[in-house]
Amino acid sequence: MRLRLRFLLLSGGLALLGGCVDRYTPDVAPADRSSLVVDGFINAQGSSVIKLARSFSVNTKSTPVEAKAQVTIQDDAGRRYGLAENPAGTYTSAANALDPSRRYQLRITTSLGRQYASDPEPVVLTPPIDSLSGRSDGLGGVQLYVSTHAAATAARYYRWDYDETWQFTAAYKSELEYVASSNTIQLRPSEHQIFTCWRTESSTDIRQGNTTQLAQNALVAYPLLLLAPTSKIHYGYSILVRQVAEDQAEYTYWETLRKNTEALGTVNDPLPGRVTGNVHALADASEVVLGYVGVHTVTEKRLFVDAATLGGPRPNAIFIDLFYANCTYVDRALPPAMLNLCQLGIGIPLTTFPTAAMYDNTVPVTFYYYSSPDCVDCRLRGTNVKPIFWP
Amino acid sequence: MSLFYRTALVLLLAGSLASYGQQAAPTPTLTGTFQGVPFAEFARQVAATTPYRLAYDPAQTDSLRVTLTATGQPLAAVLQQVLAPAKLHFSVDEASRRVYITAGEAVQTRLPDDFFRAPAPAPAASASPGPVLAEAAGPARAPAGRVYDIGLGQAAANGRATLSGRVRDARGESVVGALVYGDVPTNGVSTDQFGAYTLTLPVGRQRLNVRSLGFKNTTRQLNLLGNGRLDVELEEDITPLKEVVVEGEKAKNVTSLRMGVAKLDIKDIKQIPTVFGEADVLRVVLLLPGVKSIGEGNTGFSVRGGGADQNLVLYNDAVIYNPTHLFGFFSAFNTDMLKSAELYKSTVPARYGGRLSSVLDVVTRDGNRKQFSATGGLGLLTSRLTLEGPLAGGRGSWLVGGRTSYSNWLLKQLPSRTLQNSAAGFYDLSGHLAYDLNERNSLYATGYFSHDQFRLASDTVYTYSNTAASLKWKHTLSSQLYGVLTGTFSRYQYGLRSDRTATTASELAYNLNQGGVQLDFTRFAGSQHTLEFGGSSLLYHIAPGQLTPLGAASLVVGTTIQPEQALESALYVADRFDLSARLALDVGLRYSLYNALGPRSVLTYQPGLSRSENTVTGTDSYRPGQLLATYQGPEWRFSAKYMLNDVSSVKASYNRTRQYIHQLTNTTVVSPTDNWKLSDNYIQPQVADQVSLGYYHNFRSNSLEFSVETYYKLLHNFLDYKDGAVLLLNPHLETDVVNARGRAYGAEFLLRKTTGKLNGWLSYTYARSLVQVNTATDQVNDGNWYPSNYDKPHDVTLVGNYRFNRRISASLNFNYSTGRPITLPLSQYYLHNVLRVFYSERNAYRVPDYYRVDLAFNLEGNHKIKKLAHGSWTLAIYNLLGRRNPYSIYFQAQQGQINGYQLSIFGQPIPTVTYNFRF
Repeated sequence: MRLRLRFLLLSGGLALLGGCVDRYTPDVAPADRSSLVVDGFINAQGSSVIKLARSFSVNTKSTPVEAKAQVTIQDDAGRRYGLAENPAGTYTSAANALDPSRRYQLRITTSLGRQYASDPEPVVLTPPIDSLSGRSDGLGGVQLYVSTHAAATAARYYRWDYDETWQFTAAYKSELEYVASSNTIQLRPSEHQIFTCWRTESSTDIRQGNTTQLAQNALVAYPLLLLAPTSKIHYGYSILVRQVAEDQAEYTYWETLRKNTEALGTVNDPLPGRVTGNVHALADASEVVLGYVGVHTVTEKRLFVDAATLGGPRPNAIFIDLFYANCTYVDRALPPAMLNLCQLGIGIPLTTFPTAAMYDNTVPVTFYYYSSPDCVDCRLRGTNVKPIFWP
Repeated sequence: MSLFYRTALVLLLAGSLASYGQQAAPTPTLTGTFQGVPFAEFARQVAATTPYRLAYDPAQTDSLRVTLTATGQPLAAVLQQVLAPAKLHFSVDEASRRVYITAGEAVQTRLPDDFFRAPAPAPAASASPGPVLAEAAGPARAPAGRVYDIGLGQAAANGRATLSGRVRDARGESVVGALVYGDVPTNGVSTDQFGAYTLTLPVGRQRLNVRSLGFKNTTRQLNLLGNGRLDVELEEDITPLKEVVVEGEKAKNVTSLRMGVAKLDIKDIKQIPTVFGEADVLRVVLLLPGVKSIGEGNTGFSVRGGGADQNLVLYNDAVIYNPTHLFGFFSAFNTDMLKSAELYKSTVPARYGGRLSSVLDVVTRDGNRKQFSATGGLGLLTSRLTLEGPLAGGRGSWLVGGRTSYSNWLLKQLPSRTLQNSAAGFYDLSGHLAYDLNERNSLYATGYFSHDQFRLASDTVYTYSNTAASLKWKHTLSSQLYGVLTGTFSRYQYGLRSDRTATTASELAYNLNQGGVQLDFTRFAGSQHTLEFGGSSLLYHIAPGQLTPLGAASLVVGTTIQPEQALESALYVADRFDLSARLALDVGLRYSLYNALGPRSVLTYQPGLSRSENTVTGTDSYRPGQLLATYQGPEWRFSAKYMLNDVSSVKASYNRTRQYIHQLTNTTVVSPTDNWKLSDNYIQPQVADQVSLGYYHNFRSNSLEFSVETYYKLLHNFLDYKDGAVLLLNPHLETDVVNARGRAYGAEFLLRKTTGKLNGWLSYTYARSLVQVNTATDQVNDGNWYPSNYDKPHDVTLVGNYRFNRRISASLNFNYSTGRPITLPLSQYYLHNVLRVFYSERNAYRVPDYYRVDLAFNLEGNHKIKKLAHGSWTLAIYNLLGRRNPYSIYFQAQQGQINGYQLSIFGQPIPTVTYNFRF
């Protein structure tokens, strides 16, 4: 009886808290799952790059591109500028200088003959970036600021994206290299060094600002980005900021997209919403097309930050690169073993062990220190070619 | 069981023996066809077609219906056929050509032959001026048979007099909503929340009928001479021996003036099978037409397309903000404490205000005024106990009840480690005092507290609690005027505590306080008018969120959202006006005034642009008590009833309601962290207008009732959210919400059988609820109308009860509804180097349809009067078919894919056993 009661109690309790979770595959029409995605903008002063792709079902990983489409930029007088495809799905125009008094749209004809066009938009001229500066935030990080200004009648909304480049090192320095052609281990020449590298990443977040509440159309030391105290800013950091000015519609599009990209589903998260853009199918206005094709010029500026010169505390966290947290090295690998590891590509020799001092041995034996490539070869995360803009 | 058979046998014998009381048959014969004719009509027919006249007590025959076809049959044979089933006797006095019909014993029309030889026995018939036969009815019916002289020496104006009094049950508790009427049911009144009634009747001899759910129909013989008082005690209709819903309530379907009112008696509630065997008010409310559940297992409800926050839930007049336990699996009310629950979904009385869609008025019992008693139940997850007893020698009573869960202990027994680390528990306590200071003054006090705490396989502990108190003083100024002064206090608070990770340890607290006073008067002005008027004032204080880091290692930055204050006041007057026996009107006006008060700093935004952090122009600061914003407006309450005939009526109503407090809820998940937000400079009050039209028809002597109600509702300024809205700890909510318009319409069909072994109801509802956000600055779904979260067009509910015998009954529930709308992630794509998700238009898709069947058996203990405790068992199976109805649907990003999952909380049949006792 006792057991029985317990069973009942448990079944009730399990039902309450365990419940059952089933996969839920909503019944969505295939047309709703595969929409044209237009990623890019019309550059009024230079080359325009447009990427065409298809959206894909939420439970797949494929990233289908839209290849073999006819893509042109067209102004309101009917003049066209073609874009060439290379590689598949990426369409690039020649460096154009578009007339700022005209409106431009992107016209797309897919390989299946469906026609799409973005709304004709006026050219928004982007003012230059006046300055880009960095200041210690007092906690070991660096706050970056951007300043710009334009005529009061010009566009008052700005968006930035950027490429970050920073110098870093491998966990261990290798003084030796394996030469496959001779199957020998030799001293590593300096031009083959794999200890110091540079890594470049493009921004993924959406950064926007506006001057709509300001008396002047000027942003002075607008906080653009906060660099946390990590190894990123330890040896040196360079950022190339690209600025575009935009109109309110485009600003709103990116703002909504930004809110939507944040994580969803927990108690505090925002409600999901629908963001489409300004591209439409000509035959069917209700067809969903994703992306916003703005028309503007781009200005850019580069800033080099040497965190050491900024002052302020530099906590130890700055030296710790989590990527190397599990790195160890091995000593006393005998030459045949070292060679074998090199041939297999799973070990890189660091240096040799001073044997004479430790062994009273008539036959000189060379031991090697070695470690795994991901702890030694910085090229796995960057390039060992110093960028041309690096000071 | 043997007792049952014995009882049945005795009854059968009694029935057959009754026929032996007849006298020699008179010669006249009767011809006619009667189809469910009241006995009084039958008597008239007999008098018209034969020389004989029938003398009878209407109180004894009013429930008797005559169905027969007679073609020249002897009158005696016909009478025997008619009267024997009702256990009535007749005797014929040939001399006066009268037939005397009595209960208990046949009247001796002649003196016994040996009369003059033996000592004289008491005469069978009384010489009192009352009906001769009434006294013969026997002592059991003495109150009904007795004639009450009312208002001796009181002058009666225009031949009419006002009768008032109270209706109580055998334990001395007031009976609310009992129908009290004279000879004409259409002129009846209902007893108010104190069981009091006032009725204007023509002077003279007549019957007073009192009918109420769960009580035997009671009749008093009156000799009304002038204004006076009569208290009536009702005898409980012992369930489950009899039908739950008695005839009186049935006629109310047609005759009551109010539309869209559902009164649930506690016995009704206890019959419905529930998930953990616990009778649950809110769960029964969900089965009513026009009321929709927000989610499986959740007791949050939507009335006629309105939001979950648009329902005013009152517990003895104090507002309960979160009337649920454990994510809504249980309602926060201990059923043993309750007397009734009344839901107003169409005509909201002018006395109530502050919410758009409905009022759910939950009333506790007053407690036993005669003796100490206890009630309780042992269930699988919860147990409850209620004690009650008299106070000051029966002048008052007390009632206390508590309920607690032991799910915490249960979780520890489970094999899963995550579940062992989970916790879920709740309790609630409630107390009530009723005390009559004297005949004119009564005091009532209620206190309520509920608390919930749970942690479900995560590191966050959720707690929430409701506190409510009310103090009520009823003062009778005259037999035609009484007033009630009520003071209330409500508090709702919740907290989230996360302390498993030292660096993110934090605590979030929210609380809402509300205090109010209300003064209500009811005046009976003549027979045609009942006037209600009064006023109320509510003061709100909300602390909408305070985040505090826990421990020195916590990196959480503390945040406090500034508090909100407001005063909501209202004045109202309403008149129920009986124009004629067929047409009655109820006209009411409530005028409400709302003041949002400082201290507060309010952001200002650029005009003509969507409010966002980017359009802020500055900050306005308000001093303590300074007015931020004022909103006011009239709220019309109008309803009319026209009786087409005795069994059918048409009703119409128009209602306007205003709501100044708004709930912010992210409906993609279920959580207790739903904030209430007061109207302020930007968030305007919600306003709703509803027109309804209904047709009501009762069949088969009111045992089968049918109704159709249609409605059309317009909602203004209710809150919807911008895409990407953040609701929690948002210091400027106005940037994330938009004022939406809503419209809802539908038709509700209800067929209800109230008597017999099989009873219950079948309802079908077609209802739409649509939203539009199309302001100059903000649009959702391109400004088109779209389904609201509560839009479930089709809904079928069957509630059935079958009584096998006096001790065993079975209940079956069936529920079907269209799945609720959902916003789906349709596809994903890369844009600007980031994988993004493309969502459907808001609420463009629907979750799978919902259906569920529940079955329950009730097993009563024996019916011995003398025993320690009366026990009963309830065996219930929730979700008999084991359908996996989605409780929630959610999406998770896993390795670059977004997978959808549906969580079914009650995905298999759930059996439960509950033992209930009373002593």
